[in-house]
Amino acid sequence: MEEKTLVKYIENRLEYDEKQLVIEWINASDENQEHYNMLKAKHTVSAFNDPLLDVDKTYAVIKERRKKRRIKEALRSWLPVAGVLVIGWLMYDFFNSPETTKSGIVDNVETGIVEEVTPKGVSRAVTLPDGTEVVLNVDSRLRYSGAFQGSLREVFLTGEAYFEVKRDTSRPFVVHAGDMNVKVLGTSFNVRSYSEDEDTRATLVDGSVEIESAYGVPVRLEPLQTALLDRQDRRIEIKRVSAEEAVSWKEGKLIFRETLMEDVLEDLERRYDVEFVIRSEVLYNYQYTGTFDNLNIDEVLRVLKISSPIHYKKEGKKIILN
Amino acid sequence: MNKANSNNLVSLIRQGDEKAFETLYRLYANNLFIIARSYLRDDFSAEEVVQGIFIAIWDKRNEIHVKGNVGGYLFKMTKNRCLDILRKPRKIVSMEEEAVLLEDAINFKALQDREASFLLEEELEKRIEEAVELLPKTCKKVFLKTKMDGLNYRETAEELHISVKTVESHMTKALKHMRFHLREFMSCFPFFG
Repeated sequence: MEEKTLVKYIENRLEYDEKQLVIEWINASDENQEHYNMLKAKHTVSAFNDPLLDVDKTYAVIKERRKKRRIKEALRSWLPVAGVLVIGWLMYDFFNSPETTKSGIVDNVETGIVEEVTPKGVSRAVTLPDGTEVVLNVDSRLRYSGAFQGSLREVFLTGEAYFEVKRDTSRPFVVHAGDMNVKVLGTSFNVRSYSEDEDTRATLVDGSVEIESAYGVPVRLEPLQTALLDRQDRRIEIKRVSAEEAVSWKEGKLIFRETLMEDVLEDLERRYDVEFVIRSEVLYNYQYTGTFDNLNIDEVLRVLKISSPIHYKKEGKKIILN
Repeated sequence: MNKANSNNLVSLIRQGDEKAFETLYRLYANNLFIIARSYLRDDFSAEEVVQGIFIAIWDKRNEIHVKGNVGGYLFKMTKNRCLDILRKPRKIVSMEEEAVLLEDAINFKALQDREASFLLEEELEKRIEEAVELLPKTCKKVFLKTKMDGLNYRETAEELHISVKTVESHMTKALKHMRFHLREFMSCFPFFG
């Protein structure tokens, strides 16, 4: 076999028929195979340092994966302490709150602190004493002083909520969420700060808000901009979003754009009050793009099965993926 | 890169040093990708192989034991993962399906070939060594201390008994040189760009 033809084969520049001949030739003897082996290695080496891999882009993907695991590791190592904190806090609530209503409102008469809580799978609209409308997404908690007195209207959020703030220029409205404070006069916006998330994010729909954090100067948002505060890097990033994306969950939609499957599943767990057990390494790295428009969990699973490398088995609240 | 230096990079990674991990990635990822791509003949699978390796390294950083140089270690991981893919019949639906399977078998043998593997492994390490070796003596020392051992300029200056200013000027020189020889390596240090 001519060396030239072999090189052409390695470079994938042969027609189908010629290719077949080369394959036959390599398979004809150990000697031929060995000859090919060295030529292939030399050809491979000759391409070294050609910038064929987008190193920046692929490293960003790896970094993303690494960050997720680090949070998990941190959670795991803090679990014993967190357990004590949660228990301590539950007991506090138990002794101090005379009434726990069915809707999840915890009203503490002594301190005047009102707490609105939504469990997994349930979102709810709430009207605050000043007339501000809040839609609390699933698995979220909003605390505020019942009277709303003083020069500030302050609320504390874990989870996600959409706000339509009643205008009152004399008393700014402030949402405390994680490391972020969102300060507004009268406007509508969305804040998301689930503890499993890597960032706290505020999306402005209409009006104007100011984002404060401990890590830099305050930032003013324009409508349809999102401020993402990365909890690890402690940096605020501003992104543009579509009106549909901004508060899609309010209309019962879940929109994902090149989102890591792990994040998608986290959102689904909260929304449908289910638990995913992932038994496939491949799934972790899979990025999903798609919209679930008011689907029930079975419909969601069917869509996922068609559009991504997922097989599932449902066992009560548990869904096993492989 | 000599053995001591690559092992320093590994021990930094074991301590959870992300910058060291990034340096390792930027030094080797492209050439490992070229190897995987050449034998798998498929960019997507090759990219997955390389990503899988580095994710595994980070996840299991506490358990990493490198005998010999890092390049050899990374090459063996790449090789094993590629062999795994070539061994199993791939799901390919096309007219040339049979040819693809035959070619997988051929390339499986080619990658298993000891002499060929030796060549690939040697060259992988040599590319980086060459670039570092070409540096003038002190310049090389400064470069290895700061970028491979992870010392800061002051520490480097103290260890080499030179002034911080000298360290700085050597670094500028070294980075200029490395940029010429290893384009990818440079994006690691944007401040010197």
